[in-house]
Amino acid sequence: MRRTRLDRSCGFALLLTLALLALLVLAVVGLSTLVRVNSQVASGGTFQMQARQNALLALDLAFGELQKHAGDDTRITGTAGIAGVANLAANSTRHWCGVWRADGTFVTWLASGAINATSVAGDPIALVANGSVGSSSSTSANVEKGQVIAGKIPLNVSETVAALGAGATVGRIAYVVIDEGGKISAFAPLAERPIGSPAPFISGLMLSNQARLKTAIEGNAAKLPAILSYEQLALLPTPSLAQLTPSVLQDTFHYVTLSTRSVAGNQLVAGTINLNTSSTLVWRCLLDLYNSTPGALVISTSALTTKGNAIGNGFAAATAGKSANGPFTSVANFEAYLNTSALFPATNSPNASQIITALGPLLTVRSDTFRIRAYGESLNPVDGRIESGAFCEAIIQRTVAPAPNGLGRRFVVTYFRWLGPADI
Amino acid sequence: MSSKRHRGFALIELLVAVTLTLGIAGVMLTVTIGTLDLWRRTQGNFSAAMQAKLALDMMERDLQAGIFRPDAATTWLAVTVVNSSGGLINQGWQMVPTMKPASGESLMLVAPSTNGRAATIAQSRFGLSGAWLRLLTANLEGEGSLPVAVSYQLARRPVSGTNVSATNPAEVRYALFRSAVSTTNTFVSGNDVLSPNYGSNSESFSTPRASSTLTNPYSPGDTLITNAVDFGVWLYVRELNGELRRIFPADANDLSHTARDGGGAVDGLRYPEVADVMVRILTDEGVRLISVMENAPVLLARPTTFAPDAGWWWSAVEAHSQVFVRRIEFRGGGR
Repeated sequence: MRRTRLDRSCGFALLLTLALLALLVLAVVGLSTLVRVNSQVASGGTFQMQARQNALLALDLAFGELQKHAGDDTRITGTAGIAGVANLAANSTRHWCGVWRADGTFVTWLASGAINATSVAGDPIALVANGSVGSSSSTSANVEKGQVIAGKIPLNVSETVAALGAGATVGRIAYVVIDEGGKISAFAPLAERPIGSPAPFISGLMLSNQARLKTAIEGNAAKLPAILSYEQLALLPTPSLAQLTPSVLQDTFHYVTLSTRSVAGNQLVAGTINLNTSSTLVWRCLLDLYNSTPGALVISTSALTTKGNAIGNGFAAATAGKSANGPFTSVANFEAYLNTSALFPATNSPNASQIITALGPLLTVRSDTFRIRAYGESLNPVDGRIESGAFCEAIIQRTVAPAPNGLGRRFVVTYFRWLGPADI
Repeated sequence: MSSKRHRGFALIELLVAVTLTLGIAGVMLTVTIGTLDLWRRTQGNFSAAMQAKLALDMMERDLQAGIFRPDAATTWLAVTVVNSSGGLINQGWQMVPTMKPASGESLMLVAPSTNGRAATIAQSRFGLSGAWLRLLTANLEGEGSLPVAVSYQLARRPVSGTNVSATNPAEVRYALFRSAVSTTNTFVSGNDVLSPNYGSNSESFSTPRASSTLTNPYSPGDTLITNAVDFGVWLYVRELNGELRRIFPADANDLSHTARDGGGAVDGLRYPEVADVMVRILTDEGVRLISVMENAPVLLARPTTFAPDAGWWWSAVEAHSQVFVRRIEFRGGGR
């Protein structure tokens, strides 16, 4: 009987204790769950913010490299195509921007991780891909849709909060500079063009998809001054043709830009074209532009395509006026090449002199307008997993103002935007 | 004898057990209530911080991608501070007698310096409307990162475009709105954010407007965060030595800024290079308190220490809100 009462007492205390413990455990579990959810939300935002900061770091790094290497008036720029990287879908470095000295000696490629004209150190990432140029597999003699890659540069720290005293990689960045000055300007106001320079235009001999952009541009001249970016050209109305689609601008991404500006003395001039490009499409447009100048001895349609292709595809070779895989260092040197080539013999019409007389005011051997694509990612320092990534883009313009520290003329960012993966 | 002793002991034991249990329960209740109260306040702060982060992240991306061209005929960015209720009718405000005051208490664009230290934007008050910020930007929208016209503004209005039921109207809150005009409408309407093309005199906020507007936001689609009671911006340009110089507000009476020129022009027309933005967000307690003060004044009498409602309203808000600030660099603009 006594034993039974004791058992009952013990049972009551045990029950009470268990109930209190259960409440306590419930409270602790509830609170810890909420803390975990909140901390996960907060850390997710932190990784995203780090990725964006890393992308801005990459942009600033690219901007600094551009200022350092291409700020001086004597520097020459061009695409990797002139160094022999052919127009093939597999060649994703063809549109890198290179810098050369006035004597034609090479300085650098403006792409993160670049080892030489065809390869990168570190994991490659495409910074110009399907969202910009469509499927690169459709690259051909009539359309350039090559992707552009860069190498990821790791961001290392000596220690992290999670592992004091142990180094870790907390993020990676990548950037590429694209030479916009080697493209045809969609808009070059007459008052800002070099004296005697014709307005650049897209040749009528392009594929029908590319010709839609030509029609839209030429049919909306009054709207062009208000256009703020190349991508906004897609909003131009085309009443007589099907509406522009993303594929139109993708097809022309590598040879058309909104508007270029070049430093000429103490002013900026519009619509100039850097002749150090191996784009056959640009050369066809330029030769067609020659055809449109008053008094031109017209190049036939078939010859225009043949000669345009010959200039672009033969650019890497050693010729009069330039070394192999290097740029022309002056327009005069380019004329010397034309004079000695079989394309425009002196006894034929048009000859090199006539071509240069018509196009010369438009031509330069360097660019002052560039596009930078930058990427940043944040890594989990514990397992190295990619937690977040961010892309951004800026249009950079070299100005007449001097840069600090004797780095030539000052570059400025004229347009900046964040990009989604679909825009790349 | 033994049986009696056992019964007496059981009674005492029971009394002691009950007393101990009550004591423990009381302590646990107190601790639990305290913990839950702390948790609720922490959650309120966390919620406010997350709301602020959402808003400031969006503003950061918008301002970083702000678009400017040196075109003196076009206003690329504008800020207006409206401190009269009549001026906000076209922006969809729902007025009540006791609300954020349109008086001197709400307007302190630049707080006085204290102990020789210059005031920061966190101490400022941006009038009844808060700062009404409009700009052209290329932020990442659903239609790709094409240029769009965007406005940020505060409004006191129903949080939903439609009532919950005929007898249960949608709750009225202060909210920060971000109105982004579509890429096509921006292209058609032009780059001038002061263009009448972006205006709207519609007082209706029950249906989304097909036309582009930077004036009257649409609920709930344009709602960025709720329970924001003040929103402000300071604008700066960078001097040659790298120091920042504030161009808006130039002084305590500078209620607007229209950026048309990148340099050389007077400060009131310059496009900024850096901005400080602030947003004041009510805590959950603040939301409840302000709701009662504004919607059911019979339930809560104004303390006699506050002569006007304005002082009472701001006192309650300052006690139950948090201010969040971020410095943002305009990345574009070409200066």
